[in-house]
Amino acid sequence: MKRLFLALTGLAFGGLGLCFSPVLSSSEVQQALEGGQAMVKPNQGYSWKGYVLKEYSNGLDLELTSPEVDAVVVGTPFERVRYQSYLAAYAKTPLSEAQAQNYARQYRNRLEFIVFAHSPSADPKEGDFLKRFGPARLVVQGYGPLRPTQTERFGPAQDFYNIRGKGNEFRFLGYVSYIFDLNALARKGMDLKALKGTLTFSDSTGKSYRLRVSLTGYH
Amino acid sequence: MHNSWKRAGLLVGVVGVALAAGPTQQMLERADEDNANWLMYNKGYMSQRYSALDQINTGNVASLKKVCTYMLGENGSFQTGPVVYGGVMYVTTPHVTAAINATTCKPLWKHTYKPTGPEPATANRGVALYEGMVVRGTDDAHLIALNSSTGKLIWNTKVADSNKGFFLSAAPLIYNGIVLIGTAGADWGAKGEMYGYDVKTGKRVWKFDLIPTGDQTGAETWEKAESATTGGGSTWTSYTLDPQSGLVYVPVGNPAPDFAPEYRPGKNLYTDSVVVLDAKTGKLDHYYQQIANDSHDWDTTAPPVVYDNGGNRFMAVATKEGNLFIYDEAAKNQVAKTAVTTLKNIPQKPSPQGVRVCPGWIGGVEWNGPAYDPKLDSLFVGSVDWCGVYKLGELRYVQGQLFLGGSLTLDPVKQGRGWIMRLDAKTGKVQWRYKAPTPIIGGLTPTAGGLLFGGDLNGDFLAMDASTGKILYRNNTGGAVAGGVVTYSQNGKQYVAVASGNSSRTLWGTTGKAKMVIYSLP
Repeated sequence: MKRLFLALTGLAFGGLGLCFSPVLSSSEVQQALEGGQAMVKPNQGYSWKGYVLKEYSNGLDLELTSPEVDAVVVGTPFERVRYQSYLAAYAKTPLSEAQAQNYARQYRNRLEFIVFAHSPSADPKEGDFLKRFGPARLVVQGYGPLRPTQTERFGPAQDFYNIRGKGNEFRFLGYVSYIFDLNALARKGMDLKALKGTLTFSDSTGKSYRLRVSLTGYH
Repeated sequence: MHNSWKRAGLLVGVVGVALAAGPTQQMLERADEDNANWLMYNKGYMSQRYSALDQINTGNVASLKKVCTYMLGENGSFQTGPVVYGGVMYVTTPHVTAAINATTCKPLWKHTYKPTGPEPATANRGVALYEGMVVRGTDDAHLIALNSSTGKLIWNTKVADSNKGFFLSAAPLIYNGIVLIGTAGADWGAKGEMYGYDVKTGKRVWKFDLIPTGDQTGAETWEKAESATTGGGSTWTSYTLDPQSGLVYVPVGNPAPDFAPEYRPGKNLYTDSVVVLDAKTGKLDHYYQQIANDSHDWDTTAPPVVYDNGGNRFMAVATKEGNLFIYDEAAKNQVAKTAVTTLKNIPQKPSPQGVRVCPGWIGGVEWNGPAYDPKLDSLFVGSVDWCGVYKLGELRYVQGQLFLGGSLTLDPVKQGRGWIMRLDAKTGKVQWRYKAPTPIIGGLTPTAGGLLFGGDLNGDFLAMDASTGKILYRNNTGGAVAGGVVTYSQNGKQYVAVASGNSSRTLWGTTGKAKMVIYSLP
């Protein structure tokens, strides 16, 4: 399992070799639409390959010292349209091209960071742990700090993790999604394809996370 | 351990001798036909729950009266299947085992177990009796044996590690000196196991892995081998045994994680199955899987019933999915499948908008399974009709992938209903159905008096005309009926005992103090 984890992480950081598109072309929308549909296969989840900013655990096994965050992934306009296509195809209601174009307009000049996390314990009081995640900030080189225009939360669900030395334990889990509007940067004439910055946020215990971001690595 | 042995005077003096001797293996093998006693969770090894007693019948049941009530002094979950032997009734709560006079409710002894490890859940379904011993499981995964006359501890064996989510909620069976019991805890990520223990020593005789791995038969049905390490496969309730063949029928619960089937591709044997083992050795004889790669927490939890029909042996089992399955044991094939509750959108995957699915994860048939009436050649099944909305989105990040699943929101508890149904034992065809105001999770008991005894979560003890489903008698017990309803005779008089209390406040929204209520004719 460990080897598989490392291999996947390597692939994830390897990226797809394509550059960031803040505004999707028609062919990119079509590519995202088909890409999402192609991922709906038995026994396979939605692949984050090429979009993992940081993976803290394999999502199943934890050390006693593991942080709450399991992984942070980057939701680019292309990835978000692809995800919507996947979701719709999974539910057996695949998107039409027009619906995909609508999503592309919705995600134009938008950047999302999705933080997957689990609660620090199984205590029922931790059921609201996602609400205690601190506000995020994206400091963009050459521009300055941005605050999310939206923060979305999903969860908590309940599932178990294998805690090394303790066995399986329930944890609450879910995600916090920080959504940044890049329109102001685009209007200023910044090259969003080469955007670099630093994302910071804190989890329910107050632990701070600081991650370097370079959009050249993400389509 | 705390043992509050109470002197019970002459009664114990008289029955104590008999209790010390029995029930013997011979008595247990005749338990299905034994009218004086109710010797195990489902009366006899075959789990038919049928009593040939007819003193209380359709003509006089309306004049039933409460004889006595025994309060256990607890408010927690009360799901016990009482057993009766020699005029003594044995009942359990998660920590207490109590013996009372089965005709007067007079307490005889009480044993309180003090757990030594964590208890992943608190539920207990009852005891098994064997040659002067009372054997039960505990929620910290121990198996204990008590002296049936005194309640004194004979042995205490740690069966599994409750730190890893294991506990023992099932009522064991004892066959030829071997205690048959398995683990619960699948929803906590434990891998289910079934065991045989020597009743005299408490030592393990055999073990069967309900989640096969490595080179075990069935391991190939976990196509992603590592997913089997958190496989599930609980045994929650009790078991059934065919004394002719010496085979034990084990109902096996759902796989884990509950709502993420893509994570564990394959059929996921032996989850949601009835596994049939040699009770002496634990070797697999055959199995029937009701749901492959379950995505809804639709366990096979209740013990099946074994019966003969037209010279052939059948096995029927009902599941939380809400279906009754009938199998021909000679041909080893399924001969019928009948819905015993409302089924809606079952094959449909959850959507982001939500899909209304019936039953929800506490629907269908819970811990009391079908009963068989040989006079009517019918099966009786109680069920839960409680739906919910499965919404796509229970998300989990696992190694670079995102797994979607269903997140179920049940309808408000007050909308939960239930059914009692009579079905043809060979074809599964519904002969009548009664829509109950609450879920039906207590045991059903048909009798030669033409009656079907049962109860609902409003606390009503019900006596129905078994032929028609008409309610002939109703009496409120003051607590939810979520355990056994049993009948027996003593000194020429027929009694009916009802377990009444709180089925589970959190899940079912019921309340009531744990008690046994005993009825008879005036």
